[in-house]
Amino acid sequence: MSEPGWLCVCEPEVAVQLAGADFSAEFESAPSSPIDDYYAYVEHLLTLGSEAALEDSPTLGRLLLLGLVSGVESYFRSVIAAVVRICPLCRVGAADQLIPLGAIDYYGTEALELGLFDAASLAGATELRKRTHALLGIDLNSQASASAALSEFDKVCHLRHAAVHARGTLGRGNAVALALSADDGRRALQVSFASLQQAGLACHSMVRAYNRVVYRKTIERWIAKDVLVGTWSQDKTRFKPLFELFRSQRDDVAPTNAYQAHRSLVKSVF
Amino acid sequence: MSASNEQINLASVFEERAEFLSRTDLKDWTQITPNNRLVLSKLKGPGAKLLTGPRGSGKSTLLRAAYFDMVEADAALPIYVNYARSLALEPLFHHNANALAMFRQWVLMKIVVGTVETFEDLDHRLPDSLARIADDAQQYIDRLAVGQEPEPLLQELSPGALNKLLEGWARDAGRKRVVLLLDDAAHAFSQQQQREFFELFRELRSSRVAAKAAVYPGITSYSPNMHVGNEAELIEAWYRPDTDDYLDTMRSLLRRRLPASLLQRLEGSEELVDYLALASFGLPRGFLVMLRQVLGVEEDDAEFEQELVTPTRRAADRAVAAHAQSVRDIFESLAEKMPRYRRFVEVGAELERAMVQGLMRFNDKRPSSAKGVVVGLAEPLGPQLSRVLDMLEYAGVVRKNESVSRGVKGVFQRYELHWAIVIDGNALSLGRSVAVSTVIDVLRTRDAHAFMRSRGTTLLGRDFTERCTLDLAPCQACGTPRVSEEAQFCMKCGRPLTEASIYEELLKAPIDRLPLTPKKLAGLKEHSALRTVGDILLDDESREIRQVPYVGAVWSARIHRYAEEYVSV
Repeated sequence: MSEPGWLCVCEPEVAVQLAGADFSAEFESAPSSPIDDYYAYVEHLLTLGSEAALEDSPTLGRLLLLGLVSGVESYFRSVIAAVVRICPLCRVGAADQLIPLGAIDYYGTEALELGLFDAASLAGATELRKRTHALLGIDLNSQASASAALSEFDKVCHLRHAAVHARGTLGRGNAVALALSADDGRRALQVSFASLQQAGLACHSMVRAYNRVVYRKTIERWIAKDVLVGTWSQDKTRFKPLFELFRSQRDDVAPTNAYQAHRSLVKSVF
Repeated sequence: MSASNEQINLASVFEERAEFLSRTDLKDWTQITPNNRLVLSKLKGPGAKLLTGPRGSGKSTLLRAAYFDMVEADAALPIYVNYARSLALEPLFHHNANALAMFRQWVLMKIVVGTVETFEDLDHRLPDSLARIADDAQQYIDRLAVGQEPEPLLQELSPGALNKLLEGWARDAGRKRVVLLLDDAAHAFSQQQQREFFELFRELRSSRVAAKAAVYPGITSYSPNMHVGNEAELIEAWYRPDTDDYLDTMRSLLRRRLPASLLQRLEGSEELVDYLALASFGLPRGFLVMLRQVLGVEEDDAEFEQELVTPTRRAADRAVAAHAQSVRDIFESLAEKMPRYRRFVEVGAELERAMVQGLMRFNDKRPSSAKGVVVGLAEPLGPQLSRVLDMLEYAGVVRKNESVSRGVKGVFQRYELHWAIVIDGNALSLGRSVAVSTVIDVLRTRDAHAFMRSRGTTLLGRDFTERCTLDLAPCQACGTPRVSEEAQFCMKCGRPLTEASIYEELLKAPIDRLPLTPKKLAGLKEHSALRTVGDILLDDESREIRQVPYVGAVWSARIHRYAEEYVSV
């Protein structure tokens, strides 16, 4: 059937039917702690952004920014969900949170806490502060180093927002958040080797700051509320999974095992 | 006067750093030349100023002199702050995401504490608004000085808020305006800190607040928004040794500084005094150091007992050679303090030697009036050679003069070589047994416009730019070379590229790196457990240091100062 000439502005659309199964495989949970899992993912990603590759393709830089933020977001979800599972105080705090009924079937009872984040984005300072406070009882604003790291991560989130939603064009909100002058007019995202490396550093700093703060503040709360009492036999059930959740084997700066970490804690606090 | 009191007095006579001189000593000893008066007037006046000069050029002396002048007058409220220990904050940048915010508050809190000191010098009661924040500011600074994260301030300040407070404090003191005298402001070893500092410097101004900062030439990193020349006038602290009144100035400095007993020993040795004054290349600290050696004030200085009575040519030559080496040592210490520029430092040392040899050839067979101490390098210098020369200028090895055009032959950027190096290296081609008077004559009567024309490739070889590469540590995880200065992650394994804290590395340096006499060094090693620069700094009350024979109050204070200088700017 031919169209009248005036309608022919471009080639017509074709019929497509996507099968979700073609885009998915079985999920494999990470064998390591969330921070080590984040390291493995992002450090591979950054090796894709060589100077030559970024110069050849402006799109690559935008995609790598997206990947960076995605890696950090995934870390946040894993840590927050796991702490809600492990920490009895957070569990009480999160008891009134709503999750979709289907989350029980999809995630199963062993990972049900992930249902707290369905349709939520943690790619931004505001939402992360809110969730961390609501679910973990931690006020990130009062933690100077973590707050500073979060401010820089938020800038990366704005860059990612422009990359994802506007093919790299910075919206007014992005420009304001990035402290760009209105006098310079509309701006477009440009990801050079140097700037991608700095974005990677900001993301690493964010994850490390968050990892340290949530671990420390959770322990402090447990001590204050007698969840930890200072003896290994009584504390190990809770302490060991918490320590292993936050410990980075890759960084290799932590005590050898949970028992040694507990001893160190007892010496300095109890 | 008892023997130990005399020793203490003599030691303070040769005290090298202005910020450790008492108000009386500074007033009595500071030689105010017409040029100094002009500089002092600018330091006490309105408008932002940058006082530039290498180590020992008298920047701190001028700032301190300006401070005391203003204390005694009644127009301006002067506030003196010394930022030399800023490198102690550097480890924070490796452990805290908010290190820059802490550094900013540290800069501003130092001004608050400096204001307290001014009020004490004025013998004025502290205004309530100052008293409220002073203790908090002091604790903040004290914690950061030992590399610890401080408690959050009760009241964080912005430059604008501090400007308003300063104006109020000036009114409380009955003064119309405020002059901030910010010493050791150029932190050559942390670019991040430098840029942040100059952003604050730009903002510390109002109709009644003016800031002056002492900076080093050559390698100061200004913030991108700071336009030197427009936003702050650049003024030079360095005496010019080729001016007519230079020798009179240095002789006068000597007469003000030395007690009669030492002046008496210099009678009949006026030529040697002039010789050392010229060799100091306009830097009073170098002059005093060489004089101290020639007068045998320290037990290590004299080779022969006779030298303790009368200064000799031999002792003067030893002092000049030692001073030339100390200037080179300051330059070479950049390899530790800016490890990425290690190769540039190697090329710089080569350039200095090549300049000496080149001048020797240039001056050979030239009459005295035509001899030169200036090397003109053909422009464009290129980024690598410019960087090397900037570093040499910072250390005082060379002094940049104005560029000169030679028509079709091109434009030449002129660099004057330190005269101690010129004399010690025989760059004037006068031979080794030449009379002191001849050296003095040549330096005083040479043609100031004569210069040796050359270029980087001639002095250093065609491939020198290839040798001027950044020394970037490879990936600690897999050993892959770093791809560029901007790389923060290894491009092979993806791991973060870690950099050691420069400050922590400097603390680990052995005490051999300090400018101690061989006897003192041996004494410390034999009689104390002090092995590193950090050990000395931790020996707060000098308990360990004082175990060393012949190390009393004077020497222990000096050893501490050497250690502090080593880890400072």
